[in-house]
Amino acid sequence: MKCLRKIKNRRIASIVGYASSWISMAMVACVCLLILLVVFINGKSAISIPFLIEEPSASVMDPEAMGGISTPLIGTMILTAVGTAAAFPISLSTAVFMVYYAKKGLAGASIGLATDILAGIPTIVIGLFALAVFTDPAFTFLSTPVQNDGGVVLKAYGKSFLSAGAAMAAMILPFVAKAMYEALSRTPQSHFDGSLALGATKWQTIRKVSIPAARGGIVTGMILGMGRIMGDTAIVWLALGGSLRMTGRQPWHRPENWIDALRNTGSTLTSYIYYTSPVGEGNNLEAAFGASLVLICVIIALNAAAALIGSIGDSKKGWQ
Amino acid sequence: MGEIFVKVENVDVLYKDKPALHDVNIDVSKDAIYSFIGPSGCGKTTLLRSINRMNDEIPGFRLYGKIFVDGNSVYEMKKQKEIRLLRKGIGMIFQRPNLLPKTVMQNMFFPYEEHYHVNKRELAELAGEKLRIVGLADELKGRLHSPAQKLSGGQQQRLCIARALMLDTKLLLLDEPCSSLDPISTYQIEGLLTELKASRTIVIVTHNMEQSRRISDFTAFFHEGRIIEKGSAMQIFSHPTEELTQRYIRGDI
Repeated sequence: MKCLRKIKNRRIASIVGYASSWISMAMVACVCLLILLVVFINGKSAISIPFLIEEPSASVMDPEAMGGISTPLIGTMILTAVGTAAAFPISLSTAVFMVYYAKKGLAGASIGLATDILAGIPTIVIGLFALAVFTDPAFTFLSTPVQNDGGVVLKAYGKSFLSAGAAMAAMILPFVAKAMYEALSRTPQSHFDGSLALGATKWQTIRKVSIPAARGGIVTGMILGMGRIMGDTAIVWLALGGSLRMTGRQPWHRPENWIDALRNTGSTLTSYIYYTSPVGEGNNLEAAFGASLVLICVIIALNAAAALIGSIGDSKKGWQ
Repeated sequence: MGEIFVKVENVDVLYKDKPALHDVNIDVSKDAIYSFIGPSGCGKTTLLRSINRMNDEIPGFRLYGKIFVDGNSVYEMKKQKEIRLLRKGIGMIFQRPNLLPKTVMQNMFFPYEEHYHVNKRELAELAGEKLRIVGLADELKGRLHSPAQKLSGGQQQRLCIARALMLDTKLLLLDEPCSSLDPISTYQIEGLLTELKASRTIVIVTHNMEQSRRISDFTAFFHEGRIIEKGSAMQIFSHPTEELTQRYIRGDI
């Protein structure tokens, strides 16, 4: 009898455990769906072709004449591209160094500690730091010079796509480097040894065997970093500025003006959402939700790409 | 005993301060199969990997004494280039096949990837010849450009041997090459090794005493970092003189 009761208790415990984990999973899914639903219902009326391709006007408060989100959308892409271009080589070389060159001593430990600390710094602090550093006259090449009446450069303006991109790179560096580190450490030691035994140098082996083998994880890590850049607002507000339109030489989309556009301020979808939200100057909730819907779609597409690339990478690898 | 190809002289190995080998002396004859046997952790793999300096990357590895390969003192090589040349002349096969996630042919060309002057057509011919030696030429007909990792375990291991032969290999080091293979694949590899020893020196680490007895000309029995007994395989397996060797062969250790 005692034994039977024990079994019965176990069954009850298992059912309770199963039900509670199922309920928590359902709650997470519900919250996610609810957010998507609210953004979709509130934002869908704003979505139209002109909304996507027109530049925002000076009066975003006026629903009739608010214009569209073309420059914030393109700003998001430019900033992501700049941040990725800056972060990719640094994080990959950090990861390679940590996996293959750092001896278990001081250098490896201090880099590990530094990346962990960097990962914990709030983005608004990184934005503030970037603004403080990039306004130094030495960084005029990243933004535009601020001159006095006599034409002497007093300081750099500090806010631009380039300086915000550099700040973004610093923000995502620890996460991306960590993901790449994991991907590289998962490649089998026997392949590394095999390549060395065939007479390849360590560097050739890393380049031709280890990095290609970890390609899926490296790309996935980078895409997750891109998602973080797209979602960040604090750095954008401090280091890119609050102007909704591109402020470089116009028209900004002409190739001869591209460099100038990068060195000047602009906006991203997140700063547009902030600006058009009730706390911003351009209080226009419909536009804010419309831009949110577009941003979420872009980020979902990016995550889908990450999952796809990850699965392709894994199936191709077939490591034993 | 013929000409000596690999000479190990008074070798001691330490990992950090933990001794792994103590006062090891071995003469490996040219064009013969020498097998290292012994229980796990006895240092046989450490010695094998020391021959082509594969332990250099392991933190805390130190080796005292001398190892000569074809008359060259391996641990007196200072330049990385010399070490790479040494490794190119020595084929190494691991416990598990370590083919890259590429096609059969790309794997065969891998040892030559850095040599830009090599003619692709000549390379393909060379690869075909090596695949014939390991008996894969017919088996893999029409699959030379399909992924190497789709092959069976035995085929993969033989492909690894073929790849090692792509360079002008005079010495083959095998670290338990059959430990993950089925009996038929094991038999094929053993046959292949006995053919290869006509013009190559082979050192094999094995847990499988029957395998050692079947294929090797010479055997060394390792125990706790020392060589307990060494000599002709026939001698060791039929009339072991040391008590430890007898117990190992009986299966008591």
